[in-house]
Amino acid sequence: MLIAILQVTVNGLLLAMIFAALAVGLDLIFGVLRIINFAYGDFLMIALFVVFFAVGAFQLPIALAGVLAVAGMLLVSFLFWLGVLPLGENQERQMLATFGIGILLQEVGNLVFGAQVRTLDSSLTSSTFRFGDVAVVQYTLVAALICAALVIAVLVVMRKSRFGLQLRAFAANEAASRLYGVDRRKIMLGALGISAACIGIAATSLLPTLYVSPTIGLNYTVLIYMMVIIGGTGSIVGAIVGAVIVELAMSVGSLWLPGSLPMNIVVIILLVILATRPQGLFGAKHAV
Amino acid sequence: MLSKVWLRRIGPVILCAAAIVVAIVLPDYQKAQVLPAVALAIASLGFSFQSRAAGDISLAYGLFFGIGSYAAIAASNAGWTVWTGILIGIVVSAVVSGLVSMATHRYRVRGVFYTFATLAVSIAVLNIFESTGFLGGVSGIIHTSPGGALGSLKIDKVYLLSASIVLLFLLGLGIVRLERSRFGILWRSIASNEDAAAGVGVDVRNLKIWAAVIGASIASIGGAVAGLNAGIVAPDASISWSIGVAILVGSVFGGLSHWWFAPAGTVLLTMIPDMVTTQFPSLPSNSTVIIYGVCLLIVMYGLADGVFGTIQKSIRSRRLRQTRAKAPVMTEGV
Repeated sequence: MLIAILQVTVNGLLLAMIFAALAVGLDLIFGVLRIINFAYGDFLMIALFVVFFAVGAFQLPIALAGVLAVAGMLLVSFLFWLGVLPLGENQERQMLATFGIGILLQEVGNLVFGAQVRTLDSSLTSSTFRFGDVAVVQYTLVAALICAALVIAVLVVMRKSRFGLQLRAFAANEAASRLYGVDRRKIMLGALGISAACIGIAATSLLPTLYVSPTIGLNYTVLIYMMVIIGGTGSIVGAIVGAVIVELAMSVGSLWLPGSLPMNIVVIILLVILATRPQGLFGAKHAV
Repeated sequence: MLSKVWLRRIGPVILCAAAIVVAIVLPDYQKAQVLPAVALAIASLGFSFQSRAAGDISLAYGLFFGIGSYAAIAASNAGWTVWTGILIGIVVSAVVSGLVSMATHRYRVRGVFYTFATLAVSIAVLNIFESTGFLGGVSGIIHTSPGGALGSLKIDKVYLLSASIVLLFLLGLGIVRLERSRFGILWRSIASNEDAAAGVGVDVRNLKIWAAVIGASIASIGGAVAGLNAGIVAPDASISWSIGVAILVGSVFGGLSHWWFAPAGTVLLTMIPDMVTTQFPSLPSNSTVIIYGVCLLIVMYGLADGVFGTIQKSIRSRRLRQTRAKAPVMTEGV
């Protein structure tokens, strides 16, 4: 039993590193730019399909597939930016418009890729490392480390660079930051660009161990939002911690709970956090 | 000549009768298409009421809708009347909604976080239904009464459709009465500024809980209609939070500022894609959902107050312009 617990904990941590990239990407949109994006999971779905066809149909190397996924996400994010700009700061309208965008992406996915569930038949996941009794898929380990490096890079950019300073100022007080010369468009595009890179790289990391279909988007949207809210909106560290908590809860919970019940542990954690610390574990009013 | 007041009084009755007549003359397959739209419209009546009264956007309406479906079918299968099932659904939904609302108010969970909390509760309940054998587990339950397996087919669609239209109108009129009462004024004050309302002594907590309870009860009635029409309830189809999203989307499509905007918008949004694909059979099979998404985006970008809300606004501004044009011009020295 101990070995099983150790195995799911390791698997959970590796997945958490990958999902941390996704949570950081969403946090930049939701926590910093304060845009509600219910189509985030559908962006991930598109990126997963790009990787799927690049590797599965065109036999491209996985790294090149990742570059294509990031490029595709940059395009999607730019279109998204054009779409949300006219909505202003009305969160209700943002929520509904992004639901609409999500529905459209899902159905475009159905038309272009077909409705069936697909898995990548690849040798990428065949080799494993063994650490005693714990086995780790080599690809997942490397992918998780790349995602961890990406997340750390985002954190460094946010804390040390001029762009990060402007972004933090923008998150703290948009009107005041604009008085000091912060360009709203550049900030929004920059944040969406980083978010797009996070989605593209995370999709490349996830695909070999995941199935993809046009309808998976909303489930991932909800899951990643839970990570961000638990960790604390507007906090990169919070998004990382949120991803770790959610993935560990689901992985370890799956040992004892059947079906999708482990998700309920996450729901309980979320409700407890909302009740006791509505800003999330690491969320302060202007944390980044 | 009927006065405007009388027209307002009997107008809904005439409209309701006309809707029933239209529903009766529809072919059977169209009745089956209209019924889910009417069921969702009833639920959207509850949703829009809560959002108008308390200013809260809840994504748990799919859950209340599902509770209504399960209660109606389970009660009917147990040999009780459908009305008893509807009553059970109302009570269970009201209790769940009241508890959620109490907890969110206690811990000051508001705005988008309230929406997420309600979504989280729906997901948790859905997972319990799907992962345990509770009430049939993933397969759900089939309506076996009256008359053996799939006896639901024997439920008279004309009766169900007429009854649900009457219910929709009665509930709508009830909401109008409620919104015009003393409580309606208090609810409006909460929706416009909760803190200010609390500051002048409005009992925000209880009024918000009541708004959530009433909204959820109405949604469960819609769910009962949908369940009895389908003859089967399953977690994925009946209590999925995507139904909550459909109720939200339909309501906003119509507009939230008046009681009938949301139900009418929901019916319209449910029917438009089907009507378009019936007119253009060469369209691909999933074009209904694409049309649905496009309608939603048009409303979001072009008609921010919903279809009927925008029409109402433009009529009002036209009337205002006309009144101003007719008004005598005041000049200096008059």
